[in-house]
Amino acid sequence: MKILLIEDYKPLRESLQQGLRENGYAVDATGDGEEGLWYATTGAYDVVILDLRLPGLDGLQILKTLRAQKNRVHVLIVTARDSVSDRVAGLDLGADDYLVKPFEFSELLARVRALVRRKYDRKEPLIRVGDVEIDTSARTVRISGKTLDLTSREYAIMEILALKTGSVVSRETIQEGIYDFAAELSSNVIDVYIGRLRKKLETGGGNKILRTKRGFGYVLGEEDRCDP
Amino acid sequence: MRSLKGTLYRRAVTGTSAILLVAGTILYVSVDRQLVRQMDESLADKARTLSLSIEEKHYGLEVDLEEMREEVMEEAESEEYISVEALDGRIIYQSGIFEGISLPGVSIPQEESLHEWQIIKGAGRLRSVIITFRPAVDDEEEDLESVAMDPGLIIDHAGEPGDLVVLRLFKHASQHESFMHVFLLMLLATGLGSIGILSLTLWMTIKRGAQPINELASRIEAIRDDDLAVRLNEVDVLKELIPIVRKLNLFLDRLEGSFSRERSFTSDAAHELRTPLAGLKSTIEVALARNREDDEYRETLAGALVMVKQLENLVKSLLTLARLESGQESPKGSTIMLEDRIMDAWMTCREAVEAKQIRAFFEFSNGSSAVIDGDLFTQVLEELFRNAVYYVENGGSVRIKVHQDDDGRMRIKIGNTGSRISAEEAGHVFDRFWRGSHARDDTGVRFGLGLPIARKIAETLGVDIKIESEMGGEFAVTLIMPAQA
Repeated sequence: MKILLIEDYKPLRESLQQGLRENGYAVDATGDGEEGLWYATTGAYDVVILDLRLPGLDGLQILKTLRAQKNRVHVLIVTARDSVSDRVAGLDLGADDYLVKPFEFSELLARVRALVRRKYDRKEPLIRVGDVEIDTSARTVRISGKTLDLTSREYAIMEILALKTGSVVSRETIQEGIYDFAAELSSNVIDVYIGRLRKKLETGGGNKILRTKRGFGYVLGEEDRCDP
Repeated sequence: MRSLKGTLYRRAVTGTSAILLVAGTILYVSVDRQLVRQMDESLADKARTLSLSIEEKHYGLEVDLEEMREEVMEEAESEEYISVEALDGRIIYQSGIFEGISLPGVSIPQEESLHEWQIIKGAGRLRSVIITFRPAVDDEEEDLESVAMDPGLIIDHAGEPGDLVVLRLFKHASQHESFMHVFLLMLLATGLGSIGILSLTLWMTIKRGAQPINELASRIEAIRDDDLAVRLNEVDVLKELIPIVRKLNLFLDRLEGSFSRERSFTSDAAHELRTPLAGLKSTIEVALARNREDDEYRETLAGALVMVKQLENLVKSLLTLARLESGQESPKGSTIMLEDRIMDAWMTCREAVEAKQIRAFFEFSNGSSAVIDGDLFTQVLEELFRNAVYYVENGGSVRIKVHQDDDGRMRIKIGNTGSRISAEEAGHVFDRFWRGSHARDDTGVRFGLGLPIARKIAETLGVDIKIESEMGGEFAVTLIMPAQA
């Protein structure tokens, strides 16, 4: 899952970026409004975390511009402005959620997860693929009640695939979902992660639910449902 | 609590009552005087007529009582009494009521009359007229014996021919007093009735007159604390109340502006506090979310300390501003050397000056001094130097010039190169929490309070402060010291 963080207070920006990355999100972060708008319009993000008071361009202006461009990315406003009128203005301009500073980091994560689920039209945090349960709330993968030991990046790939269960997900989509804008990638890094994930799933008892569609990408799902 | 209606009513009733009382008194006194004058004239006429009943005969003075009684019905009926005396006080004739009473002596010129009130024991209060006259001489020979036998005549043999005679005519005051008493009662009844009717009319008038004030008061009362945008309409207000409505609307303008600025300040202060708090909280939460190496914890703590210091600076600035705005600072003037203070303040920025390799140019007038609170003035200089040093570009320059202007006031100009704000934006630099867009990436470091604090202290010291800025050119603050006595 890929997040754009636009926050002008550097210590907050850096800690959120670190925390989100450690939770398996790819995070692009900037402290400048104009740069933030550029990121939002050129990149594919699952969630944009947006501060309102920004240098360059105000947060509400960024939101307005995105919605005017029919950009439907999910936006979570994170601001110190706590008045009802500010919240109403933000939500009316097309924000999906609103969080007032200072906040619990766990709450921010929960709201980000909720927005990701909303993006993929899933109301329940639990996704089942055969015997495998992907809990997007606890960020765990269980097979027959037994939790798999996954790294945050492996879980992130699993979640990307799970949210599109039965559909082919291209290597580029996975790559965009787990790496930041500036990350330099080696050509087969996704294949390596998929291989390790598949091995852990099969060892844990998940019968070949993660398969490769050569030339297209990867698909998570039971065999009878997944072939195009 | 005093009421306008009550006050108006009381004053109107008191005023009207006083006018009625004065008018009544004047009327009463005038009537009394007029009646007394009429009584005096009547008594004087009667006294002169009575004087004709007294003649000087060859055997002495003769008083014709019959004639007198035709004119004066004595005793109870007419309440008029007579006393005829010789000038030496010898009594020739007196009404019976005066028996045994000694009337006070008189001395008045002939042909004139004297009118006075007299209180005579046994007779009460009497109005008297006193005349002196020389009786007419009757030379006709009359039989002295027959005259002596006539009860209608009184003969006085003691006098000398040509003696003056004093005639006093009295009228009892009871009739006059009764009339005046009734008149007084009528006046009082009329006055009290008038006051009663007037009070009622006044109350109704004042009540009706106060209605527009009550309506205005209701409209003012309807203005809620949370909706100060409401203004009173002048259209349906009495002409006399329009100035009040205008003043109230102006007051509401100021109040709304003040509340708005206060809300904005509180909101801005909350925003500035919340952001570093959020950073601190998030940094600590993220650090605690998993086990980390010692170096990572150390790094987190160092970052947290930076944020705590930023918060501390912000709180300090807010408290300074609050203290200045509440007027708690009371400057104490003493003579300071401007050069010393400027150099002391400049040295507080030396680390930043060295780090940014800033060139500083000082230009002083010899021995420039000012009478001012030195500590507070140094705070102004420090804020301005911090601002200049922060915004000047690396390797840029700061110029400080002290000179005396034509008006005799000392001026201190602090200018730095590399201004990043336009002349238009410069108008906002004293707004609390205002930061130019170029400075917004300094969140947590600059709060937009330095220059407002500097100006507030300058205002307290009576120092004028002016800003000039040219984008890419110089940003300059000029302090104009108060004129020295």
